[in-house]
Amino acid sequence: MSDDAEIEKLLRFLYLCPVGLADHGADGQVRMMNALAVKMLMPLSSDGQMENFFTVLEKVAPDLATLVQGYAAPSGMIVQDRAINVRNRREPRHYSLSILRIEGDTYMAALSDVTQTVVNEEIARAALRSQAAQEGRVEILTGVLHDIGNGITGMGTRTAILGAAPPWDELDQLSKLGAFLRQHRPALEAALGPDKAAALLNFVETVVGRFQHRAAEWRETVGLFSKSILHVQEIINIQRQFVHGGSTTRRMLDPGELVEDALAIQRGSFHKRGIEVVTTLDPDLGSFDGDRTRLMQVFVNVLKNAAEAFDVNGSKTARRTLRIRIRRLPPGHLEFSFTDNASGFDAPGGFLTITRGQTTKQSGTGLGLSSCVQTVASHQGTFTLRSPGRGLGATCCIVLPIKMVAEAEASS
Amino acid sequence: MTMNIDHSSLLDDLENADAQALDAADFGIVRMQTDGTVIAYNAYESRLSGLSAASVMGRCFFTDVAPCTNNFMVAERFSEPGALDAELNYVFTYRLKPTKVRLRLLRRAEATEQYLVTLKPGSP
Repeated sequence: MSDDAEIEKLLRFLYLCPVGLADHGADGQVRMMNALAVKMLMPLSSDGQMENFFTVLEKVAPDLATLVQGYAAPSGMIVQDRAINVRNRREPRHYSLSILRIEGDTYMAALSDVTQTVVNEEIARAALRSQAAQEGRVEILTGVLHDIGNGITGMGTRTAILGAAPPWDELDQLSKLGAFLRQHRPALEAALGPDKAAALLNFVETVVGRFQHRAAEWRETVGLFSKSILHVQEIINIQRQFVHGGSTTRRMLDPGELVEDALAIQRGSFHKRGIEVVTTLDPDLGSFDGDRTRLMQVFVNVLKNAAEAFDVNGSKTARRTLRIRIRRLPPGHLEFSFTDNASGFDAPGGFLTITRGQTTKQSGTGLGLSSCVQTVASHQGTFTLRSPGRGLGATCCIVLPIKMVAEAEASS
Repeated sequence: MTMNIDHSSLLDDLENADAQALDAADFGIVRMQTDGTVIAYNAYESRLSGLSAASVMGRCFFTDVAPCTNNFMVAERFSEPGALDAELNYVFTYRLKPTKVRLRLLRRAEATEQYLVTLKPGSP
């Protein structure tokens, strides 16, 4: 290849170089510059002046002359990856500028067009900001739903306790007083006279009647109130599942208190069926990590199932009993077991595999147990239901970790 | 016939000029198709740029020959439809030396060819 051809090849290489290059002195005077550098810098030069590199860049990088002229080392990088923003006619362009001292009064400037990278970074930052804002809203919403859920659960507990309370003693006493007065009416008439005795009897019976009516209204109101609370709980639970893909705010819970609250809600059901509940708590259970509202729903469901198991034909046990036990299981777990002596069920190996639609009840939908299994699984626990056979009772066993591990930690 | 960069009939002259006439011009002439493909590159332009006509023929002028023109000031003007006759001051990097030039961009409406004409002030 001739010298001319070599030179042409070199020129062509530099003309088409995808990086803007300029050779200049300490005073900024340009000695050489390739085509891309001109293309990039033209929007900055109103009069097409490209003779002085510092002058061209003065508006966007006014300190270049100072940096270059203040650089004492004989060679080395003076400016590295400085962001230069240039607004051309249509859109801003973003360049990365580096200036290298090659030797003496010879400096090389390199300009790279990083517009697409900057745009991509801005898109990524905007996406992160949007995600952070969304997560913030979700966090607030989750917290609000959690607090409302806890409040509603507390209301439900108190309402259930009120509903399960025995009949009013005062009414019972007043009824007995009415019966006593009727029984001893002759003596009463002798003491008060027939008119006053009749008036007193009438008064007491009227009061008893009104109190009975009000008691019935009270029970009906409490029942409606319980249903409404349950409905609100279901709505909140759906919303909590929806928000944040089902993750919820967790806190440390007292296992005994949790079961006791669930029992309070179902106490009326056990009382009505004559079921004796025996609870045994191991000492030093401590607290555990969980979502109170969702676990309450699990325990209430388990207790409801246990109570209804006594309704099944063939469960005419002389003494109906539900035994609840909470104990620590090494390493770092709690076991909640609910053992009844009700109808039981037949299942391979004694264990019932719970899938959506699976039920132990004749009229059940199987959605309650499936939901329980899912909730317990979301707490990194296990839910099992076993029975030695039909008519031989059943045990529901829930094992939960005292402290859940983070998802990444769990997967590793 | 001597072509003049400032003459109003320059486009007529360019269209009628053969390769020899183009080389005789005392300014640079790049004849290209409307997609930028170079079909003539005269001696003046070749001398200043250091690129032979043979090496640039058939290449896209805006991307493969003079990428400094691939912007809104030059290439985008050519990409707009219709006739074009525009003048502007520009900087070319002839042999890597930033050089102020006058450019004249020419095209007839509906034409299949277009011209970029360059004059380095003070050059013979």
